[in-house]
Amino acid sequence: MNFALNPVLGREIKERFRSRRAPVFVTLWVVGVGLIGYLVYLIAQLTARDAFGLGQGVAGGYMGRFIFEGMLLLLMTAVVMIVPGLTALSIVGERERQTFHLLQVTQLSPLQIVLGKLWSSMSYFLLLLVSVAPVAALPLLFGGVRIGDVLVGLAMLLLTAIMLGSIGIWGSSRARSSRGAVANAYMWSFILAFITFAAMGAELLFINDGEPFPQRGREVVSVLPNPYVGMVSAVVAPLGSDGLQGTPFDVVEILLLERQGFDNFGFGMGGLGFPAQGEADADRALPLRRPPVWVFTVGIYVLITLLSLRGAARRVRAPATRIRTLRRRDGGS
Amino acid sequence: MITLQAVEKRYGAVTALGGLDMDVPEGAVYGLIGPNGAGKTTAMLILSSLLARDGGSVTVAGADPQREPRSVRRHLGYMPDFFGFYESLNAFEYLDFFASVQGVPSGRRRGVVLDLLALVDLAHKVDADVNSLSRGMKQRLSLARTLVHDPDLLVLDEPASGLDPRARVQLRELIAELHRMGKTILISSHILAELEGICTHLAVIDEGVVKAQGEMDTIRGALTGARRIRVRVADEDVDDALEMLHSRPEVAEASVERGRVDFVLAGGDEESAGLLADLVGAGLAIYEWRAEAAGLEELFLELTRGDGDT
Repeated sequence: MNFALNPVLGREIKERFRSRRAPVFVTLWVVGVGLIGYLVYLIAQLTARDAFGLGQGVAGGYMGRFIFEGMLLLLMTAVVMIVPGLTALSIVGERERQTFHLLQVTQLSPLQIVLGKLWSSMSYFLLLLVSVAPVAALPLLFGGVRIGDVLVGLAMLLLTAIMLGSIGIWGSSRARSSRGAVANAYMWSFILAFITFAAMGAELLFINDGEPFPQRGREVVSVLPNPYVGMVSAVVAPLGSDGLQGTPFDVVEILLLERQGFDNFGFGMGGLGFPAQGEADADRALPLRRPPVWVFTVGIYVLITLLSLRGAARRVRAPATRIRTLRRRDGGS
Repeated sequence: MITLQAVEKRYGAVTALGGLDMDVPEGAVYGLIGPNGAGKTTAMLILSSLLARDGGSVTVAGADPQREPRSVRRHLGYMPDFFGFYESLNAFEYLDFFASVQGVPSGRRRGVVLDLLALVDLAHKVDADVNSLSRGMKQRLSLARTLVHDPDLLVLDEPASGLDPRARVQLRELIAELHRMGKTILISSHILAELEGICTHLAVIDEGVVKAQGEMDTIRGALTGARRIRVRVADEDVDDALEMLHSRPEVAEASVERGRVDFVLAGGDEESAGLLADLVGAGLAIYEWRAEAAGLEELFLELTRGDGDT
């Protein structure tokens, strides 16, 4: 199967980029990300000034890291908010405009139809990513960010987008209306991104009776599928900290460290900035007491993606036991 | 080309098809008529590999649409009773997309699409957005879509529905042209006169079963066994002719209208010729003898007991 030549993908891209909304949305997106990026830069500048004072060379690295982490969190939020909307109407939209049967009765396999829809949405998402690449590349100018961190962060964004897109397509294949499909896609997205945080609170407070993390660490099951935690874990792997204080990842890093049983890692200075010389490297050499969260996150996302695509393909397959047509003219029997 | 045997389909408690038998020979233009809810669309969906049947057997171009759907789809072009357009594509792109999903090689697609647009008389609309086309043009473009992979069999679900008279005539001519090209065509319609003009075969379906089917001429006779006859006789012989016709058991509804005697004769050509000979033998002056086969409308109403919503 040649995905690059999937006809559904080709048509979807043509349709998507011909709509009047596309250039407007991309423009708003670039402006919005630019403004937020600038805001993150200002916050980083203020934070670095507090930590190092002006003119300190080391502050550049700190700012780069701060902006990098802020941008990653921003882009992950964009994934959570945008991707469900890109895919929710993919199948139900075909039903509503009465083109679904026409696709089914061709030589396309159900999986080709589903993947065409997915790649189309992902290509649009990639366009959005590329369009803000200059803003996202800002941290590289300051230093403090390894290219490996950038690639890992982008990979987690992409994996999350594919997973949420697959869920959206699965929901779309089951939906009876476009409104239901959109609601379903966003429901799953919000459950994974935000409800898991609430579940973590419940897990820590009630299931574990509010006890502090023991020295050997403790698994926090509810955050394993959380995209933010998974991404932070992957970027700051192996242990779960960038070795800095006062950066946007801090909240998640504390959780990741305590999960490993390290409750004093890099946060013992009582202020912002870098830990004591050599402390971070020494701590990074500590043995892992449980696998990093990102391993679970990636596994869960791959599984969700495969199940969603399989479920969607089954719904698209013909012959079906019954026909679900959402809007019809009179006259048929 | 198509064989359906005892095909059943139920939607919950509702039986859509209750043992449908149908045989569509190769090269036929096969009309499927029946009232709303008779099961026409359900039958077409099943043989087009879109809907699974609950019982019976179906063969389309030698393959079972339920077990070998892709094989059936290679031979079949399906046109549902709605358009189904991608609004932002023009006519060329629309056909090009369906040619690509039907596996037409990219090197041949442009030629195929342009030929089809010419065939359906839309060559001048190659760059027109599909939304800007008239209803008749959209229907012809839909028909072109079913032809992109050059199928042997076309399944057209109420293609004339909603078209104005001119568009119907164009569609009718197009279907006749496709018949001349050797396509087997299964067509359903409520526009009975349309089917009468273009079909070589006919099946009347009601309540999920076929009430009658066969070649057009055969089915007319088989369905009614009767024909309406109009006779012009000398003015002085009208009363005698009427009296004689009333006395014959095979004659019904005999009446005089504007100097002509009208009646319905049960039977075919032999009975008609026999009656004419008897009237002439009785010394009546017969100036004109016109036998008219019953129209599809009458046949349809008779078979479906007139309860169709047509």
